[in-house]
Amino acid sequence: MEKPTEKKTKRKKEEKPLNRDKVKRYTCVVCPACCDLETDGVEVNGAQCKKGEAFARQEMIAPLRVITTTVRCETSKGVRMLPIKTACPVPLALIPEVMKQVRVLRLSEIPDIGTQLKTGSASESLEWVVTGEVV
Amino acid sequence: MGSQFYSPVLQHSNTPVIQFTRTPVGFFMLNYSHYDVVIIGGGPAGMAVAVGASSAGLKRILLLERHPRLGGILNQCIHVGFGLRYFKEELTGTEYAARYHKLFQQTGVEVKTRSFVHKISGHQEVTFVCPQGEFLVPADHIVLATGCRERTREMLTIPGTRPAGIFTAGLAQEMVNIHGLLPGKNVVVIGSGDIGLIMARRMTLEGAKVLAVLEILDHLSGLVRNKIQCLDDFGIPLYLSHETLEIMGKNRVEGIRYRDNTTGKENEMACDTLLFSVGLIPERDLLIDTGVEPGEGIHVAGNADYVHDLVDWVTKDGEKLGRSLRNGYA
Repeated sequence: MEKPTEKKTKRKKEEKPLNRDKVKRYTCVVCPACCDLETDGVEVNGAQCKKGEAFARQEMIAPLRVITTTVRCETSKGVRMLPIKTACPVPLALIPEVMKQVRVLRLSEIPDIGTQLKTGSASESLEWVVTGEVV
Repeated sequence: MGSQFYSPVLQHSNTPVIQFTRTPVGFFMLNYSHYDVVIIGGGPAGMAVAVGASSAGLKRILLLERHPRLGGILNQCIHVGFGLRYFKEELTGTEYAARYHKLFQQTGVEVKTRSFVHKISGHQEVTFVCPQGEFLVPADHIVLATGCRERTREMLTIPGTRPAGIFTAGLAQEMVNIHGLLPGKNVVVIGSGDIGLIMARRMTLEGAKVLAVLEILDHLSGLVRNKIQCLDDFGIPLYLSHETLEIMGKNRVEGIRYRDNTTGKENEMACDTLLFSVGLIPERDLLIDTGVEPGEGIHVAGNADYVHDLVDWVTKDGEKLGRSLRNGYA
């Protein structure tokens, strides 16, 4: 069986001039292509797509990640772990805080896939999306 | 009770084709007595083959899955990074499974869950056990979509004691994500496969301390994006060219001894849990009895064929294989 490979020829983009004092290097985590990026916060070199360029600029300011975890559902059928993810990417530095919020969460029934949940206080709430089904 | 319930193999054309090979303990019916395709395994590969075969016009398709639900290993992959190639959208493993399951359900393929295939005979017959008993079903095409098994500590022949606290990364993933159990508090991951990297992050998020990831090779085995998102983001050190020499501990893992192969320096590290992420082996044990090579009406799909790095390729491969199946023997 032949291994599927992407035969598209990579478009070589022209190298943009960067401010050499501020240049930082990142590896893009948007997709499995893992482009090597070089950015000074304004221009980005090495990205094959627009998402990669946005990633590099964001990475320079504050890295954002989607957190995935599970929430405990204590139902009459027994305890089930329900997979959830944050509705939007959250700053890397806030991950310990976010995990504290979700670890105390208990559900009494199992919501459907795609349901939104809220954790934290009213002023600092965080939205989660249910990503799976449990038996 | 007639003796036909015990006859193991088809002999006459007028006997019912699907028959009990042991005393039945329940009642259940399959839609057909002979199938065009029987697919073993209800993970992404199995579902993809079913979708492909269905789109190629085959009608009598049966999917056998040993678990109560379809999805396979995707059900324990709660992390993101799936579906960018197939659905053009970043999904978690569970979302990918749910979304592909919808596509699969539209085909109307017959599914039998809680069914464990333990034998394929050379005459294109599949024997499986399920809560209702043991059954035998003949098929023109048999597709193995059985995925992989993880390599274990035993396969690496690491010396030392055999205490509790040694897990493969995939097992730890099932414990944490499905059963809500934390395998240990101070963890060392041996091998830098993708599941090991993912589990280093997952254990950290759940409050365990991941001390290090040791890799015997001089390069990362997994995807670079997993190293960045799972190790670098959480400050977990990755030691390349580090060989594990010994596992210590009487009842529970107490530590490991390792060597830096670039300098030859040996060192010890205290920990209570070891996760092994040292490669996957395609699961094709069912073929051992048959003496039939794949290609003669027996096909292998997905990770049972070779290890794919993305589930998207598994799906595309599986659909392609499914579409290539034709009525009658291959």
